[in-house]
Amino acid sequence: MPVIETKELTHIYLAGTPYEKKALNQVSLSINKGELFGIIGANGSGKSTLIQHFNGLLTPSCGTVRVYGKDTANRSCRNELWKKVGLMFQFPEQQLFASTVFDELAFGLKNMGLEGWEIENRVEEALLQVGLNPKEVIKVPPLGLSGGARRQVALACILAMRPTILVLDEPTAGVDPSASEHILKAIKKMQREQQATVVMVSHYVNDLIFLADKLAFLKEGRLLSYGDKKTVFRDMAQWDVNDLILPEHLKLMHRLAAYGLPVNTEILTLEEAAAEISRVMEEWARCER
Amino acid sequence: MREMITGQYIMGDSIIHCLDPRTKLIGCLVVIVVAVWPRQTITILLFNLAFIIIVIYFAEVGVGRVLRGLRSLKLIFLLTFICQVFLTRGDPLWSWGSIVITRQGIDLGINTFLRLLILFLSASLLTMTTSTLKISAGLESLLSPLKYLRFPVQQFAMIINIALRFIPTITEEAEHIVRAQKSRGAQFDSGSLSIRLRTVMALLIPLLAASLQRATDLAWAMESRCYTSDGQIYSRVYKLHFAQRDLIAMGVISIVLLLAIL
Amino acid sequence: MDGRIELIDATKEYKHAGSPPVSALNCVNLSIRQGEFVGMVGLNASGKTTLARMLNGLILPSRGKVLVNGLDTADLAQKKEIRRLVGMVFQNPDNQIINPIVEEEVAFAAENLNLSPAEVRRRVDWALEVSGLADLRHHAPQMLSGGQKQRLAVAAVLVMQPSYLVLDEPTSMLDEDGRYELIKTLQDLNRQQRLSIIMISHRMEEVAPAERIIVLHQGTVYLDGPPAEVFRSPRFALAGLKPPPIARLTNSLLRQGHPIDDRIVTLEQMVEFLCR
Repeated sequence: MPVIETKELTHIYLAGTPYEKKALNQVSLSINKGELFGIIGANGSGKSTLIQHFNGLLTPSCGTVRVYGKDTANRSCRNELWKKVGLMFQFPEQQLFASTVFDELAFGLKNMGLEGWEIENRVEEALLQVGLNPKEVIKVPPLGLSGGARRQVALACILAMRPTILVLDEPTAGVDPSASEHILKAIKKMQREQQATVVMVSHYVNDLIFLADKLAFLKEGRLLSYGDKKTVFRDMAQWDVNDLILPEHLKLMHRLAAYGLPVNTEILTLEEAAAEISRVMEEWARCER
Repeated sequence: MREMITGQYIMGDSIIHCLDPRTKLIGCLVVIVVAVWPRQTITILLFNLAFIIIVIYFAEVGVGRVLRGLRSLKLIFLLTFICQVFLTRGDPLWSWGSIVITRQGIDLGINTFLRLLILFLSASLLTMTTSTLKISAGLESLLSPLKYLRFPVQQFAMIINIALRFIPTITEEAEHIVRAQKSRGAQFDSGSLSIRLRTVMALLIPLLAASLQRATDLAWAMESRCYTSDGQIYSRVYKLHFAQRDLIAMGVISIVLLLAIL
Repeated sequence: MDGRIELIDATKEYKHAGSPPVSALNCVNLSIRQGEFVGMVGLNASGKTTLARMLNGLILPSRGKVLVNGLDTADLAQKKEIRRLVGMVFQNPDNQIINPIVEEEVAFAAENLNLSPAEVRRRVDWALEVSGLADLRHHAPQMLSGGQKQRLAVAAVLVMQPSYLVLDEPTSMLDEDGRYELIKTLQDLNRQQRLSIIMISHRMEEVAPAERIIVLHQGTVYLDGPPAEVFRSPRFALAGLKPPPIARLTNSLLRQGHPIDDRIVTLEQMVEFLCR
C-alpha cells in the first residue's frame, strides 16, 4: 500500500522572477508502507525539495502529493502532517537550541501536547535508540557535545515523536564513521521494529546500497530511474557519464567490463565484486597453465 | 531556496552599475539630504522622486522589482500617513466627532510618505546596483580623511563589507531553521504568547550559535590569509577609478541639488 | 635548506576552569616533507583539527615545537611568513569567503601581503587558472556550486604561493561531483606545482591515493605510513576506522590466494592491475 504518492510533481522556485528555477519536473513515484526508500542525486538535483513535499513544508507548483491518501494541497491536512512524518534536515545539529538534551527532545513532544512521564519515557527511549546513554547526556547542553553526538541528538528529537514515516536528508554527511554507524543502525531498527516507512536522501550511495529496499535517482529535477536497486544502479551507470555517484566497487565492475573483462556488472555487494574478480583471475591462472 | 531579498545586488552592466561607488554614495546622500531637509515642499520631493525613477530606468533593474520591496513596508507607510493625517492640527477640512482631518495633516501625510519613499528607493537602488565590496571600498575612500583623526577607516570598511556579505547567508539560514523547527511542530503563528516566545527562541538561539560559528571560522580563515587588523593595505588591486561618466553623473547630481535648493 | 614541517613533542592542552586540563594532542612527533601528499584520518576528537591548525600557527602548542621550514610558529616575527608558507582551507566554504566577487576574493590574501598591483594581478590569474575557475572570475561566490566554492577557497590561498596546503575536511559538505573536482585539482597541484597537500577526511576513498596516511587516535599519532600498510594494520580497525572498498577487495582477493599486488588501494590502481 503506498503511503506517499506523487503525481507529476513539479516545483518552481521564485516563479516569475529572473531567478526562476524549476527544481522538480514531473516527478511521479510511490513509496510503500514499511519500505526503506533511498533517493540519490547530486546537489541541485531536487532531492531536498522533493522530500519537503512529503511533510507539507512545500506544496507543488503543479501536480499532486498524497500522504496517507490525503492531498497536501489541503491546508488543514498539511498542518497535521508533522506528527506523522518526521523530517530531519541536512546538518540537523545546527537546529539545536535548548539548554539541555532533555529539553531539546521535549520540544517536539510538548508541541504534540504530551506531558510528564510520557515525555520522560520517550526521551530515554529515543536516546537509547540512537546509541547515546541517557544518563550521561540528558542534562548536558546539546551545543557542548561533539559533532557526531549532536547529530545523534537531532535524530533522537525526531524519533521521540514516533513518526510513522521518517524522512532523512543526508543523515550521515560530515560525521565520523562511528557516529555514522550509530545513526544508520537506529534508522534500520526503526524500520524493522516499528514498521516505519523510511525515506532517506543521500549522495553517498554506500549508505544506501545495503539499507534501501528501493531507490530513486534524480538528476536536474527529473526522476531518471526508480525501482529495485539493481535496475537503478544499471540505469545510473548509463545516465551518469562520469559514474561519480556509484559506489567504488560498482564503478570498478563497470570499468572492467568496459575494458572487455567478462565480469557481471549487475551485482550489489563488495563480496559479489570480489567473487567476480576472483572468478576472472582463476580463469587466467587456468589459461596460463 | 529563498525569496528575493529587498535591495539584493543584481548583477548588470548598466550605466548606473558602472559608476564609481563613491559617485553613487554621494548621489544617494544628496538625494536623502534633500528629502529629509526640514520644511521641504512637495514639489521638490516629487521632482526628487522623478529623478530617482529616471535613474532606476537607467539602472535596468526593473521598476517592478524595486517596487516589490515596498510590499513588506506597506504597513509602515500606511501607519505614518494615517498618523500624520489625523494628528496634525490646523484648518479642518472634515470632521466626525473628535476625529478631525486638516489640510495641513494631508499635506504633511503626503510629504512624509514621499520622504519615506525616496529614502527607500534611493537606498535600495544603491544596494541593487553596487556590490557590497564596492560599497565598502567607496565608504573607505570617502572616509579616508578621517584617518588623520585616527579613525580606523579600513577596519570600519571591512566590518561593513563582512556584515553586508553575510546578510543573504544568514537570511537563508533563518529560513532553513524555521522549516526545520516547523517539522518538529513549532508554531510560528500560534496565538499564545508563551508558545510563540518558545518558538522564537527555537529560531534565534540556533541562528545566533551558527552566526558565532561563522564568525569564528571567518576569523580563522582571514588570519590564515595574512589579514591583520592593524596592517595597512597599500595595494588595493581592484582600485576604484573615477571616470568621465562619474564626472557627468556628479554634474547631474549637482544640478538636481541646485534646482532642489532654489 | 630542504623544506619540511616538523612537530617536536607537540602537545596541546585545553584548560577549563575547575577541571583538569584536557589534552587534545599528546607529544606528537612528525615530519612532513615539501611535495608530499598526506591524508589524515581519525574519529572526532582524535586531535586532527588541532594538529592541522598547529601547522600554520593558528594554534600554538602548549609544550613542544612546530617548525615550518625551520621557522618556529611561536615566533611572532615570523607569523606572516608562516601563514604564507602554509595555506589553510576549512570545512565550510560559505564561512571562509569574504568578498562578493570571485577575483576579489582571490586577490584578498595577495593584497594583505602588500605585493605590487602587477604582481597581485599575475598571481590572481595564475591561481584562478590552476584551480579551474578562470571562466568564473567575475561571478558572485554565492552563485557557485559547492565544489567550485571550495576550489575558490583553494585559489584564495594559492595566491600566497604557499609550499604547503592544509585542508580540514574540505569535502564533507560537497556532493560527489564537487569532491571529484576538488580532489582532482589537489592532485594536479601536488604533481605539477610540487605543492604539499595535507588533507583531513572521513572518507577513506579520498585519502587512499595519498602517498602517506597518518591516523590520529586520542591525540596521538597511531599509525603513519603508505596507505596499503596503514589500511591493513590491525590498529586501523582499533582506531574505529574501516578501509576503503578497493582496499577491502584487495585483501579479500589476497586471502583467497590470488596473485594480486598488495599495494592496491584505489580504483585506478585496481583497473590498471587487472587490465594491463
